[in-house]
Amino acid sequence: MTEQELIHSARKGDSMAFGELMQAHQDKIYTLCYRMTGNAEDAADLTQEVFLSAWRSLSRFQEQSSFGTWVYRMATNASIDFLRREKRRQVLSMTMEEDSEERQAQVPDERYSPHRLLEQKEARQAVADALAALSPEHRQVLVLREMEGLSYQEIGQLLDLEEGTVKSRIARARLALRDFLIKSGNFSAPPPSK
Amino acid sequence: MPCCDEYVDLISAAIDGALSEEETARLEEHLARCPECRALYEDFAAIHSALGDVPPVAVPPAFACMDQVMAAIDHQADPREAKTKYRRYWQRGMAAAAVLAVVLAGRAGFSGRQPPAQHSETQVVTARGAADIPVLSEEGPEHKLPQLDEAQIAPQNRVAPPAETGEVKQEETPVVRSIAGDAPELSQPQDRMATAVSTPTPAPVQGPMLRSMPIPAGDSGINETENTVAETVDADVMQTPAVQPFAASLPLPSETSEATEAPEEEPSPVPNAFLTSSAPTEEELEREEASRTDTAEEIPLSLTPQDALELAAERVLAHRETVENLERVDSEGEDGSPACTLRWTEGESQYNILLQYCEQEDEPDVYYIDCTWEDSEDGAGAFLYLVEKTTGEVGAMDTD
Repeated sequence: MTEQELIHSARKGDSMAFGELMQAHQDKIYTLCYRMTGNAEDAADLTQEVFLSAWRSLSRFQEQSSFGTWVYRMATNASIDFLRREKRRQVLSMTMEEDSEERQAQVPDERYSPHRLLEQKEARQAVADALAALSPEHRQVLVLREMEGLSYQEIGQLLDLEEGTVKSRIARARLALRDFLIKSGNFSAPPPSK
Repeated sequence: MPCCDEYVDLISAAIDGALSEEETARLEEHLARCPECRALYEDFAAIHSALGDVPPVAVPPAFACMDQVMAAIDHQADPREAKTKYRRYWQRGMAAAAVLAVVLAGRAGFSGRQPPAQHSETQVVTARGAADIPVLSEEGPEHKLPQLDEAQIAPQNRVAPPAETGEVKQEETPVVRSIAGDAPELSQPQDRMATAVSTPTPAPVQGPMLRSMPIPAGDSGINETENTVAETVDADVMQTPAVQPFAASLPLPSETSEATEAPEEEPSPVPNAFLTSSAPTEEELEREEASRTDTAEEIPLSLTPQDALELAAERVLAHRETVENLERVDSEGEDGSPACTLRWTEGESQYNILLQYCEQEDEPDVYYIDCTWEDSEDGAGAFLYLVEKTTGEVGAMDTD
């Protein structure tokens, strides 16, 4: 069956047809969820949720975009919601433990003496790990741009943002990532101001 | 980097090859003169290269991921009838307990400790609701369930089995078994039904749940709870372990003392007909359907901004060892939102805190209370309190 036929069939309750649709798109959705959450377990959970949600809202799928795009968008939203909750959860649980909870410590501004950039592979890992330190919004745009390879326009459509907004958000995200890498000693500090 | 601020966007766009000729020329000219921006460009390029170079994601084999989805789907009727099924699920009053079981656990897992029951019930409904609990068809005993290996079931899709008997068990801790293991319970729906229905159903759990049911594509309604049912259910709070909608043996919660506090906190859109044991009339079903649509997007609030302000104020003072000469002045922000100033002394030190409620449109479950402090010990600063709307939990975070 063509994808359209599968969709129509699934809408009528044909779960097998939906299963085939899932097969066709699960890798892409899982990959996105993995990039966003950073671990396999959360990625798997999120992927399942996204497809379950897609199944339940199949009647609302207008077919204006492709099924893949539709589900991808759901996955984008689901994963950023996940990150936001995680961040809040971390904030909340942290505050319960510390003494002076009112004065949250941010990433400490410890400027170590500059290292050279690490070996290629380690550098890649350090940068990818540093993604986790970013805000959900920053992480999201970098994942979409750098790892999923979407254009500014495509990202704008996915997130319902103006291209200009996408452009500057990506720039800020890179800046934040760079700052983190400098503070954590993975990047050399920039040359001093004139 | 004062100079580079204007060029950050350009540099970043250059990395992505998104500059016009004119912009490229302008940037090149600037880079020739500015070592900071050159360094920034190099760093961005390194980031771009590193991120683009990550190894491909290893997708788990299909069965590990998708079987659970297929199982959950197969348990549901087809999408068009899903709503009808849920409605009938409601009729039997089981959904309440079912959702309660799953989401209480999730909620508890979220905070690491058990929330008060009435708050949990409301939170229950803001989470996935019954939607994630497979609604089994109502064919009765003939309906064969696929065997699900529990290990394969994602935590949030696991459901607790019904109690052994039809009686209400208040202290029983549920044992999480696979869904299929409960099939035998199907065999006596009618008998159990009588027992179950005789106990009044708590209203609040049902009402809000209906609101949470529709899940628009991409909406954050997908998931609020993420933790395993088995690990986090507290025996005291768990009013009934039973979760399967089809199992009429599901005992209804009888700890109405806790349950009844919730209705005071939020209005239930569910017509009272649902609370009775008789089957709703067509008209009532329609009304319920309508109210469900109307309130589909709402999340039940049990706290007001003023409440959140109070909690934040409480929190501020909770850590202080001694609080002397406490003064409190209530006021309003520019937009009329509640605020209050707290002043006190501790020995020689003076403290001054302004708490201000901040309207946040894109935060459906948390209130933001801005806290600006000033004291003779540490100078001054500001941060944000986050108050969970449905549980009253207070956290704090730095403002960026």
